[in-house]
Amino acid sequence: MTDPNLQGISPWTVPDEPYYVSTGEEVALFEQAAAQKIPVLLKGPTGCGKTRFVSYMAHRLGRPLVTVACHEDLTASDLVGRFLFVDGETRWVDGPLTAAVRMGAICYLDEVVEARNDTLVVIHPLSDDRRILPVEKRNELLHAADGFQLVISYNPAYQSVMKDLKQSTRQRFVGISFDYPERDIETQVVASEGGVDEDLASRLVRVAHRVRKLRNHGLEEGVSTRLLIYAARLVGAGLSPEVACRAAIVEPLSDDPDLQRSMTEVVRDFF
Amino acid sequence: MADSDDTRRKPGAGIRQRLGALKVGDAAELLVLARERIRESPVEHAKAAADATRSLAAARSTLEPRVYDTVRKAVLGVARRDWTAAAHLAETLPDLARLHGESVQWVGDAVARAVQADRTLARQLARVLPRCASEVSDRAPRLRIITALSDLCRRYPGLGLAALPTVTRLLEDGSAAALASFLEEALTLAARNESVARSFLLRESRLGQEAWDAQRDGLSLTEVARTLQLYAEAHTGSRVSIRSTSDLPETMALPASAVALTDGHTVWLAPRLDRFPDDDRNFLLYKVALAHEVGRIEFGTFDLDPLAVPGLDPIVVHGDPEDVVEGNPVLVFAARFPDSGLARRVFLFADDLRVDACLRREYPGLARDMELIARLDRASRPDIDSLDGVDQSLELLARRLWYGEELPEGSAFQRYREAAWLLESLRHPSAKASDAASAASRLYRLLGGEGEPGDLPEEPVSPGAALAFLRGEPVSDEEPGSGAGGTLVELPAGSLGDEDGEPTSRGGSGEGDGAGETGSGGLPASPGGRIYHTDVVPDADGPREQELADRAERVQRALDARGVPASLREIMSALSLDPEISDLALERNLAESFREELRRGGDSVQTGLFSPNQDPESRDLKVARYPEWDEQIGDYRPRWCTVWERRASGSAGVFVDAVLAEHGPMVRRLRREFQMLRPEGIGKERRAREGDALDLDALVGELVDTRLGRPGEGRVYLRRVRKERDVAVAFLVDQSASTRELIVEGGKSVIEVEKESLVLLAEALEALGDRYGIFGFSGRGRQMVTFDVFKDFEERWDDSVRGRIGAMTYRMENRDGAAIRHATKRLAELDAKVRLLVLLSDGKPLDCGCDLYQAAYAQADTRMALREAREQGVHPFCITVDPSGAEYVGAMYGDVRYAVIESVDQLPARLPAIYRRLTT
Repeated sequence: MTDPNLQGISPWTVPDEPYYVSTGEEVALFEQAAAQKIPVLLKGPTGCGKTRFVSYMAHRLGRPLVTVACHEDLTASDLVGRFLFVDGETRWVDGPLTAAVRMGAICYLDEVVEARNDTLVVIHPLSDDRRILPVEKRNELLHAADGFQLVISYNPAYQSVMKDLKQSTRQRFVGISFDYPERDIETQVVASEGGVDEDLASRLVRVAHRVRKLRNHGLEEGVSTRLLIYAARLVGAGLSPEVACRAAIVEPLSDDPDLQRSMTEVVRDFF
Repeated sequence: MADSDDTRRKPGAGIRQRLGALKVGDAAELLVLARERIRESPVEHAKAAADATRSLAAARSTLEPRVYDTVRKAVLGVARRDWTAAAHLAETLPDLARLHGESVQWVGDAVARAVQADRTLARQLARVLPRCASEVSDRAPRLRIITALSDLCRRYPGLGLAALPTVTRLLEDGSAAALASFLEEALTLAARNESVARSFLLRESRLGQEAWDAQRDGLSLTEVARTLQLYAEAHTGSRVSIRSTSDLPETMALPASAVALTDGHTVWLAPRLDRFPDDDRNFLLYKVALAHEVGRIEFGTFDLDPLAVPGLDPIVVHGDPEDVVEGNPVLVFAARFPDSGLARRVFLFADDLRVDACLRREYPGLARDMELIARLDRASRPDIDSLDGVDQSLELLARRLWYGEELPEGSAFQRYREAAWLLESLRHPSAKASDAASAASRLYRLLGGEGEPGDLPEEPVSPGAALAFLRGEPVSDEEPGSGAGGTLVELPAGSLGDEDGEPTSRGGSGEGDGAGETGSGGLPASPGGRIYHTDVVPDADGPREQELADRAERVQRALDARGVPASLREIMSALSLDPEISDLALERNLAESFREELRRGGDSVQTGLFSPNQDPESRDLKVARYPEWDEQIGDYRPRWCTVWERRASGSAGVFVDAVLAEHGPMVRRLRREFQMLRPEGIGKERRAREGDALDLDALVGELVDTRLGRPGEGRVYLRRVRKERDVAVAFLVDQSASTRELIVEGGKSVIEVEKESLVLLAEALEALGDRYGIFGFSGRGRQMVTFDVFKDFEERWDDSVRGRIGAMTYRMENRDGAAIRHATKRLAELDAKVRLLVLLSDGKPLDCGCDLYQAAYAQADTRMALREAREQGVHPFCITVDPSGAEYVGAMYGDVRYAVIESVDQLPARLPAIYRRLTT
């Protein structure tokens, strides 16, 4: 049975508490927004913990979580659902949004600006006090279950002028801004998630702080906490810090040989 | 002296013979000139002969008779043809003879042969060659250099003349063998093509640059400058610019061994490092030196408040510090002492201890690199006995503090021991630049500066106590300051001696003792510092900028005196013609004067450069450099042209309104036609594997197939496909002076018609929705290609844009290549499926600035620029109003990539049609 309608909600739940260190008021804000049924917009650079935060909140609130990675070719029916032609007959399959609406889940649209604006219009009736989803093809009007919570995220750093959220979409959400955590918290996160000691984590974080200064000086974006964790894990698995940092920091960030070399030297300064 | 008699008679006789054929006036003038020559020349010769004789006499007393004899023969051999060259030779040759007697004859022969080719050349060679040869200690490369230069001068006098001035610099820059190979390669090239060899020798061509870089030993700064720049930025987060010490004014008298210097904003690095045989370690030396200079910035050396140094005895304050308080704080601090040179030195000595300790604490990995460099440093320390006074004292302290060597026994050194205990405290995590300054003031007096040294601790003290001592706080044994909790950094000494036997001689492994010959490589670290501890400098650009400002003022005055409305443009072109100013300084200075001009609200509107009523910030001046293709040498000239991009100035939009009024019906027709080009938005793809709706026809077919027992394909959906017209186009207008020509007597000028056409097309494009930018280019000389933005791609077709188009006018020259490269770069930055570059031209590429950009050269470069554009996914197209354009435009753009408008007045109608054809 591939029909998500029939699978129940268990695949969507977050049973184990994800590791998350709060850096401000975001947990309280999200809880209140969920209680008040207000949709939430998360913004921040890539790999700073937006997605982790959402699954942490899903666990904390005890709600299922449906995540959709948005892209340019995402259509409304990708979100809502469609008839598939199977074994000589047509069968309706709920899209992730519809599924979330039915089961009262948190629906997380990641990198929402990648989706076209005409696609995003389908979330409008869900994101105001009506909380409805018209499923035109089935001539059905769904009312969102109580637990339904819409969350979207985007990265304000690398969006070109061509891609931006329309005001009519933006103004339906409360916004929470994310950034790389403070030095101490990030060290704690890297140590815990990467499974390494504080000293190594602290060196990695200091490397990251140097590398992030290269943003706008050649790098499109600074190194993410996620990459630091990968680096830490590689070191934990027995690779040398230089090799791990090359693989997890230098190579992913840039192809420019000069930039790569200067990052390598920054790494060398700490190990 | 028979020669000089000859010269007196011959020209005189020749002139008399020739005068008969000339007009009276010309003949008189020639006669006067000839008399001058005749009068001058024997004097010159006599003087040269006297000089040569004097030099030879002096050489006779110092040289061995046999060696002297070769020198005399060489000089006289040249003197037979030219006394001036002989005099130069007599002056320079004895030095060479003293060092390498066996080369004298070679050099003499070389100069003698050169005299036959060209006197000026021989004189140059006589000056340069012996000096150059005496620099080279090994016989083989010396002979190779002499032979190569001699061949070059004899066979290609022009090349020799161009190359000689650079030879000495090349020798400073690289090894003798490298220079020899480089010259030999140039000779081989010259056999095929002399101008290729010329660019090669002057390193104006990429081939030449690369060949030279490959020849030389060591690592050149240019290879790693960007890496180092980014490295410095990563550490400081701000713009620290990296430059070569060769950019510093010569008046700064730097220590020849300086690896790095800083003024707190810029770090100057040696142009080349060859202290290690391998480039990895040379790079490391660059990096450690840079990290140290950046460390000075990062750890607060330049945050020193020179007026608030604890424990600084007010008695030594000299003069009024307010005078200098604006400058570099280190220099201000030093200026408080009567001997400011000594004060600066001891401050840096003390502060370097602090900065190095900070670096070691913050960057454990860097500490390891510093160790490696320390070994080189230690091996190149000066010999204590060869030093005296302050140098010796500082060197003793340096060895104590950096390498843990004991100070000499005896009460005479007791005070140094005490000072060392005090200085040691600067390695403490809480030590600040002010503590270093305070320690420096004591050290200053200890080393003989004015004033009493004052108290020093009499026995080893804890760093806390020593710091308290420096700050004039009550001494206690508690940890001082911010309590960062660190401990004293271990002296590197212990780790040094017993590392696995790497020889500590200069150059590390494998180079042995052939040391002293490769330029600055052999120089020891300056007494008291490490090889990367060099000086801080005042803002090096200050004097140069002042000079530039003075020059600008002079030009301005001259223009005022001529009664010409002085435009900044003229001043700039006058400035850019001056070869004394380095390109970099010029570039920065011009950027400054642009901004300054903008702040002041711009000059007169007629010049069209600046408009007073515009928001200054909005003109965003950008400077970019591009290579140029030289067909003759078959190579690029790197960073040859400077393109100045700026927003064009505007006027009220009357022009556009007038055009729209005149061409009302055409505008309406164009808008309608272009609107129809617009894609209808969403299209449908039938028989898709997935989609939003069922494709009924396909579904029926599918069902039929299944019923018949055939396998279905499942292609039964309708898919919605977005149809987009994703076109970006740049219109590049040639604003050269020739566009001011009127198309008919009393009618419009070419540029006005071009503007008119642009207005019409813009109206049409607004209906279509394509992104378009309108740019104009002109300029004069390769350093000043202007690129005016009338409408940027993302700008709306609003009143200010229309105003700018209205104000578009003719300018100076047109250097198409550079402008095309810049437009290509702008287009390539856009995210578009189709990128189009449309050039509106009225003739051949031509720039009669200081360097000639014309005819075949200019067309070859333009063709190359267009090829580059195509490689970057930009489609170039040229519309020319030159009726004879087909010949050369076709050759540059290719057969189908241009259109010739025979009669300019057709352009407004033709341009939109051409555009439509191009994009559908």
